[in-house]
Amino acid sequence: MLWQIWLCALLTLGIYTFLYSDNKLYRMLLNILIGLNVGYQFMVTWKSVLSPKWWALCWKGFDPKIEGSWFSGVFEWLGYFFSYIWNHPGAFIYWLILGVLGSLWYFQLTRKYLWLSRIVIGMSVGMGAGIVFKSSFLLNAAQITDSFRPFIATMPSALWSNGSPVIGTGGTFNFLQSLNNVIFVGTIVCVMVYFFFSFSHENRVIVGSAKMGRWLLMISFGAFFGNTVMTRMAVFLERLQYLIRDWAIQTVPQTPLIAYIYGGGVLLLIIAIYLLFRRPPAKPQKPDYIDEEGPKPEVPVGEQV
Amino acid sequence: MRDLLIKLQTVDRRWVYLAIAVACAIPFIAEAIGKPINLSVYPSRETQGVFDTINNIPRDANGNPTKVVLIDSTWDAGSMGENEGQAEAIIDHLFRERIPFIVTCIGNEKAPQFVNGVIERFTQDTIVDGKVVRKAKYPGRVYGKDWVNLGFSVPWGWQSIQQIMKDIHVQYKADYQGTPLEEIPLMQRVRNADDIYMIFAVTYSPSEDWVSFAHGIYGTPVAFGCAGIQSTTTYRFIPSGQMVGMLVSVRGSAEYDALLYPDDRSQRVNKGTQLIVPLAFGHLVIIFAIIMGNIGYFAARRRRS
Repeated sequence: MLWQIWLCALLTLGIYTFLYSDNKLYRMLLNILIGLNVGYQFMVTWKSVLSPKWWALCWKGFDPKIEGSWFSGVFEWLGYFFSYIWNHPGAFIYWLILGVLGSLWYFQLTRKYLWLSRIVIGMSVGMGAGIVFKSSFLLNAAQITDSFRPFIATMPSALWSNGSPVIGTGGTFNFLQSLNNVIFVGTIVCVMVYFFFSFSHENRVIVGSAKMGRWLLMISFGAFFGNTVMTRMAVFLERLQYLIRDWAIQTVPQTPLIAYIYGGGVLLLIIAIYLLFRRPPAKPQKPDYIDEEGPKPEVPVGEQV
Repeated sequence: MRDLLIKLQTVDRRWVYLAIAVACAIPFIAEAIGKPINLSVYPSRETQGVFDTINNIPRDANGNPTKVVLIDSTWDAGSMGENEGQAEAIIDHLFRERIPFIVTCIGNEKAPQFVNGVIERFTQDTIVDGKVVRKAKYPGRVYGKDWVNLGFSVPWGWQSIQQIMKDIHVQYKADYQGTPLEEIPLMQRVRNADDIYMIFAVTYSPSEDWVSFAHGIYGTPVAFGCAGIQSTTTYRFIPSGQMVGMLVSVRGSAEYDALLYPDDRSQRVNKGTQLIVPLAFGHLVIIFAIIMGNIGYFAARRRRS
């Protein structure tokens, strides 16, 4: 759709005005996008998670048929309500417990009852701490095993992913794999020495290793920076491609003249409204410590009340 | 002359932005006027690892894959520039090899529609104003038999991953469109980790829990498609054998596209292939800016000394 492409392109350009300098248009668009995101997230979370896994499990069978006036209807509805709870006590308790526990998170917003939210935070932290132990072991055990590498190695194979040791298992010496292993193990040792603060860094070997470790860390930070540039560029390129190909080349020439006239009119109207109703810039305020009579004299320490 | 060199350090950043935008726009404009700029792409070992693993899926006597591939696609508009091409490349490969796959979107409610858009481009003609602007590459693929999109699920991380590996039918009762899993032919033969050949997690920063809980416990091969900035922290899982490979940023998807179509460049329509040349142009500007900034720095230092 033509208007969708236009809207998307203009929003993108509006956001990119930040590159020139911070401005109100950018902030307005940012807030709109955040609001849209939060609203959408809430609805999808309700439809996909909260409703099927919490609300509907208790209340999907609750469908009162009210036939009287509004006054009697209230009592009829309450009758249906309590009889439903009476007939489905398990579902109601499930709904109530999860609902109450979940709602405790919102007490983060009040300073007075903040302690209530700590109940669920504590439960989450306890559960998380247990699983992180398991996860860390599964993640790092293989890493530790992999750091034991032969310095005089053969070609990698299915069994020996970093080459098997020539001494002991035999096989043909592979220079590049051996060099790779030496660099790998050397890097680990040097970086660990750099972060080892429990003994004095006076020994020449220790000082040299630590210095080498620092340089190796710098190289890895360089790799981080390079990859960061690639990521930011990719995000920008996706938008640039949209602006050039989908909007400027394909859509702008196809847009009828009447749409440009209409759009220009709306833009002028918005500018006119802004100019008419904008607030005059506030006068710069004096700092609190300066009175009309000038700065207050300093009171000697002994005479302070 | 030295004054000019010293001034290079204080060039307004907006000039750099403009230079990058102009440099990146050149390949897009060249493509639009029918003279695309092409650069060679050389697949890296991590990309080759993913490609080979998918190619080596076990098949029965009739040549049909005996297991499925699970794609955890949790990217959205924020990382579209990098992750769309990665998802596109893997799905292209799976459709081409007739390997059935399941899509999950753990923890991101916006993700299902984005991955659906990629799949629909392969299976349905793209129609704009009643005209077919792009023919479907694999029009014969059937939902429920060749692929299933299970959609959004919470919580993000280990709980969902553990449950999927134990029994996917407990984690998901219905697919993205609300169809019960028992009614979907593909899901009738997929139950747990035994039925999943490989996991490809594609998002800005894939969860390491796939490595610990899917590969660590069940030995299921895992591969990531991630943002460049995240790749530096996940490379360590490849030499240790915890991951079979990784698609890194735009580069990964362009490399994968080159592996899919090594001889026919006209078939390479992947997002990564589209963005790799503008990315190279942008990087050239950044390298130039870094060199200029350093020349200015050394010129200023020499003057001080």
